[in-house]
Amino acid sequence: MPVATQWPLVGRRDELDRFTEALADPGCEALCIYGPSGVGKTRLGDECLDRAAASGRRVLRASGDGSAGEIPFGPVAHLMPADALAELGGDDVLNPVVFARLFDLARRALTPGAAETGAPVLLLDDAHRVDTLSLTMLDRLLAVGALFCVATVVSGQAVGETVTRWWRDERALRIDLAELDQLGVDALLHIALEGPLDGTAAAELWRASRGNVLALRELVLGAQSRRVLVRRDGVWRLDGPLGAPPRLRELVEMRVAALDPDRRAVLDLLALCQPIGLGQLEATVGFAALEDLEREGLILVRTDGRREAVRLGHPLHGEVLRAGLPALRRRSILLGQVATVESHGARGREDALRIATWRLEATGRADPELLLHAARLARYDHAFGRAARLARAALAAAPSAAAGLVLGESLYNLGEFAAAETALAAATDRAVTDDEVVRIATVRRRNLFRGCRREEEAVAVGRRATAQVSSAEAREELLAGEAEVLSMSGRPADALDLLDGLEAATPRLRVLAAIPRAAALAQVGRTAEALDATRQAAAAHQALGDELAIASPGTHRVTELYALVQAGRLDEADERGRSWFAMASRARSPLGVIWVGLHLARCALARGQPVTALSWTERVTTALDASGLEGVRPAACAVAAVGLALLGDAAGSMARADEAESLAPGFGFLVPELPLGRAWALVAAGEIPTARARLLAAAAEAEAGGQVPTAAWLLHDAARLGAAAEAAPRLAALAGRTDSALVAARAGHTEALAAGDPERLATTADDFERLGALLLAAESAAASADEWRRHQEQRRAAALNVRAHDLAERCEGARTPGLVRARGVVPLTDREREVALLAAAGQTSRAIAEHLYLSVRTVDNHLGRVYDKLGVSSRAELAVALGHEQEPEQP
Amino acid sequence: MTPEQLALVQSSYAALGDAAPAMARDFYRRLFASDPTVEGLFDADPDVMATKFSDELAAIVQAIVSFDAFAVRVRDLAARHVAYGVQTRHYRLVGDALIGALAAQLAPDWTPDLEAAWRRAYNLVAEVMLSTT
Repeated sequence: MPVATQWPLVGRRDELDRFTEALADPGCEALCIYGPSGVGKTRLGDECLDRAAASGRRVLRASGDGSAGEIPFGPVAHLMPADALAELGGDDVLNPVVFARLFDLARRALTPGAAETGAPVLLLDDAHRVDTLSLTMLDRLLAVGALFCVATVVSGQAVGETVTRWWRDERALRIDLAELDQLGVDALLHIALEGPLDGTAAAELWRASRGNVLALRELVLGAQSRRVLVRRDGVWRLDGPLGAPPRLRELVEMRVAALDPDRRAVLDLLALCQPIGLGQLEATVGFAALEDLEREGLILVRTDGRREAVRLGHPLHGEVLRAGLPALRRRSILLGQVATVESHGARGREDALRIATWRLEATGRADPELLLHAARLARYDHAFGRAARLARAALAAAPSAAAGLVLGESLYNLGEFAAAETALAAATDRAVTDDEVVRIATVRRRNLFRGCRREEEAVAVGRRATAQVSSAEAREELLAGEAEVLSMSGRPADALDLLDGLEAATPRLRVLAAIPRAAALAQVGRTAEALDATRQAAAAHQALGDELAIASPGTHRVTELYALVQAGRLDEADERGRSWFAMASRARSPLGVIWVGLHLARCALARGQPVTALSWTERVTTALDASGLEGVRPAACAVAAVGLALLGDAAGSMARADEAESLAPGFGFLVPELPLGRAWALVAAGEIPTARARLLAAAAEAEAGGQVPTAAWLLHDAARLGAAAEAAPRLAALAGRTDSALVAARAGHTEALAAGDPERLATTADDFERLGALLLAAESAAASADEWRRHQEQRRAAALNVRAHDLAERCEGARTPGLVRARGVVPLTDREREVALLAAAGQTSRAIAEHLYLSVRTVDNHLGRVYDKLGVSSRAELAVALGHEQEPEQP
Repeated sequence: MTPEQLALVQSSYAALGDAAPAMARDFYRRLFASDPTVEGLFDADPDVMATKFSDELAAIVQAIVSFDAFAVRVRDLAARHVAYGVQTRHYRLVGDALIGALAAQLAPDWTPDLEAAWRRAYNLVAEVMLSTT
C-alpha cells in the first residue's frame, strides 16, 4: 500500500512565484517565511531552493535547531572554507578584525562560479533559533549581495532583531504562511494517498489537523501504521476512531513511541548531536534503516556545503525526543558521539568545540580553553545561562581572569548581582594586563552601581583600576565609565566636567564617552547637543562592530528617547519610543522594556494621557518584577501615582506615592522627579496648598542639581496649582538655560497665568498643542477663556472654552484643577459640533445636509442653536469663535 | 476527494452531452472577460479550441477515479502548458471561468454539493499540473 513519503507541495504556488520575483529583484536580499509550527515553511523553502537551483544558482542549507551539538556560528560555518573557522582562535572571535577576515573568506567562497547565474541562495531554517553571531555575519553578506537568503521563522517565537530588520527595512519580502484551507487539505490527501478518501475519513482528518500539514502527515502516517486508515476498493477509509484532535506535540510523541529501538537510537543521537555525517550513521545502522527513516519523514539527508549531513525531519521531533531521554542515556549518547568523532580525527576547531560542548553536557567537564571559548560565544549570543554554566566549568578546570569575567558578566545579565560581585572580585585579583583590568573593572562597577546599588563602592572600584593601568586609553575608558556613574547618579555637571578632560582619541573611546555625555546633556536641558551626541554615538558604535564592555546598542535609543522627552518633542518621542519598545519586547530584553517603557510613561504624562502612562508603567513593573533592576521602580511608582491622580483615583494614587517613598531612592537622575507622585496624590485628595509647597521645594533641589527640565516640570505644576506668581521668575531663569521647547512653553504659560493675559494664554495653548502636550494646552485654553470672561469678552471666552473642551477630550479622561475652572458656557452637542465645524469650513447648509444625511431645515436648526450658544451671527464669526482652523472634511 | 464527489463530477459531465462544446465556448468567453491579456496566450480557432477543451476535460473526468491514469493524463497536459507561458494566477481565473460555465450550462440542476465536487476536482487538477511544472 502506498505510504506517503515525499508529500507534494500544495496550495503554495503564489508564495513560490513571489520567491521567484524576490530573487530576481536586485533590491531584495531575502525572503522571510513566517508561520506556525508544522505549516510547511521548510517544505516551501526547499521548493524555493529547487527553483533557485533550476535557474542556475548554487544552493545551501543551514538551520538553528537547539540540539546540544549546535554551536554558535555553526549555521554559517559551512559557508566558509573548511579551515576558516581555525581563524576563531583563542578569544579573538569577538574581535572585529577577525570577524572582518571571516567575512572576507565567506564572501570569497560565495562568489558565483562561471556556470552560476547569481549569488548563492541559502535556506536558513528556524532562523529564530540561529545565534546572533551567525545572523550578524549573514546580515552583512546579504547587504553586499553575496547571498540571497530564504529564512523560515516559527511565528510567535522571538526572532533576533537582525531578521526582523530585513523585512521591516524592506530589504526582504515577508510571507506569512497559514494553515491550508479545506480545499488544500483535500487535494493534498488525494495526491499523497494517490486516490480518494471516503467522506468520514476526509472530514475527520480535516477536523483533527485543522489544515496543519505536519499534523496531517503525522495523523495519516500514524493511522496507516496502526491500520486504522486502510484502502478498500480503491478508497481510503477509517476502520476505527482517529481520536480526538490531539495537539501536535502529542502526535509526534505517539509516532516516536512506536519506533523500534535501533531506529529510536538513531533519532536520539540526532536529537542531541545533529547534524551528523551520513557516513557515520550508515556505518552504525546500515543504509536500509536510514532509507526507512527518510521515507517516513523522520530524518532528512542534505548536502550542507561540504558533506552529506543527516538531521531530524522536523525540529519538533527533536524537542520531543530530548524531553524523553533519561539522564544516563543522554550521557552515554553524548560520550559515545565524543568517542566516535575523536576516533575519526576531529576536523579542526569546529569539531573540537562540538566535542567540548557534548562532553560538558555529559559530564560537566571539558578542556578549559575550549570551554572558555564556548562560554564567550554563548555570552555573545546573549545566552547568559549557558555562558555562565560554561564559564563555571572553565573556572573549575583552571581559574583565570578571563573566565571570571565571562561568568561575572553573565551573572550580572541574569540579575544575580551578589554572585556576580563575588565572581568579579575574584577575577579582579587575577587581572594582569591593562585590557583585563579595564574589562573586569567596567563590568564590576556596572554591577555594583546598577545591580547592587552600591554607588560609592562602584566609584572606588573604578578609581582603583584607573590607578593600576598604564596606557592612556585604558585610563580614559575607565574615566568614561566613571562619568556614566556620575551622570546616572544625578550629577550631570560633574560628569560633563570629567568628560571634558578626556582626549577620546580612538573611535571606541569616543563611543564610550558619548554615552554618559548625551545622558548628562539631556539632564541639564542641552537637548540638541544630547541628541547629536547620542546619534553620533549610535553610528560610531555600529561602525565599531560588536565589542565587549560597551553597553548594548539599545542604550543609545534609551538616551535618545530621554532627550526627546526632555526637549518636549513629545509626538516624536512617542512614535519612536513605541517602535523601540516593540523591538525590546520582541528581543526579550528586560532592560530595554524597562527603560523605554519608563520614558514612554513619562512622555505620556507630559502629553496628558494618564491611561497610556499607566499602561506603560504596568509593563515596566511587570518587567521589573522579573529582572531585579530595582533602581527604576520608584520612578515607575511616581509616574503611576500621577497618572492615577489625573484620573481622580486619590486612594490608588496615594498608595503608589507611598510605595515610591518606601523604596530605596533608585537611580539618582530620576530622584528629583519623584515628588511629582506625592504632589499629585495630594491634589487628587484636595490638598492643593500642600501639593504646591511640595512641588516648590522639590523644584529648588532640582535647580540646585542643574536638572533644568525636571525643575521646570515641578515649578510649572506648582504654577498650575496657583503658584504662578512665585514660579514665573524662576521658570524664566530656567528657560534661559535650556533649548527645550517644552520648558519655554511652561515658562510662557506660567508668565501668562501670573499676568492674567488671555492673548498669551491662547498662544501658549497653541505652543503646547504643537508639542503634543494636550492637557497643558487644554488648561492654557481654559485659563484664557476665564480671563476673557473676566474682560467681558463672552464671544472670545466661548471660543476658547470650546477649544479647551476639545483639547481636554483628547486627554483620556484626565481631570485637573486647571480644567474645572472654566464655567458658564453650554457645551455643544456632538451633532451641533459636526454641523458647526462644517459650516466654519465654509460649506453651505445644503452641502452639510447632504453630507450628514439631514434635511436642510434640521441643519439650520442646529446652526441656530450653535450661534446662540457661541454668541455669533455668521459663518465667519463662527470660524473665529471655534478658535482654530479646521481641515475641511473630505466628502 | 470522496468517491461520491468523483461520481458527481462524472455524472454531471455526462449530463452535459452535446452541450459540452457550448459550455467550453462559454468558458473561454468568461475567461477572456476576466482577464483580456489571457486571450493573447491562445491563437487557435475558437471552435477548435472549444472542442479540444471539452475533449480534454472529458478525458480527465473519465480518468479521475483512477489516480495513476489521472496523474499521467494531467502531467502530460501540464507539460504541454508550460510552453504557453501559463502562470499561477491563470489557474485561479480558469477555475472560476470553468465553474461559471458549468453552473450556467447545468442550471437548474447545479447544487452546492455539485459545485463543491467540481471545485475540488479542478483544484486537484491544478495542483497536480503545478507540481509538474
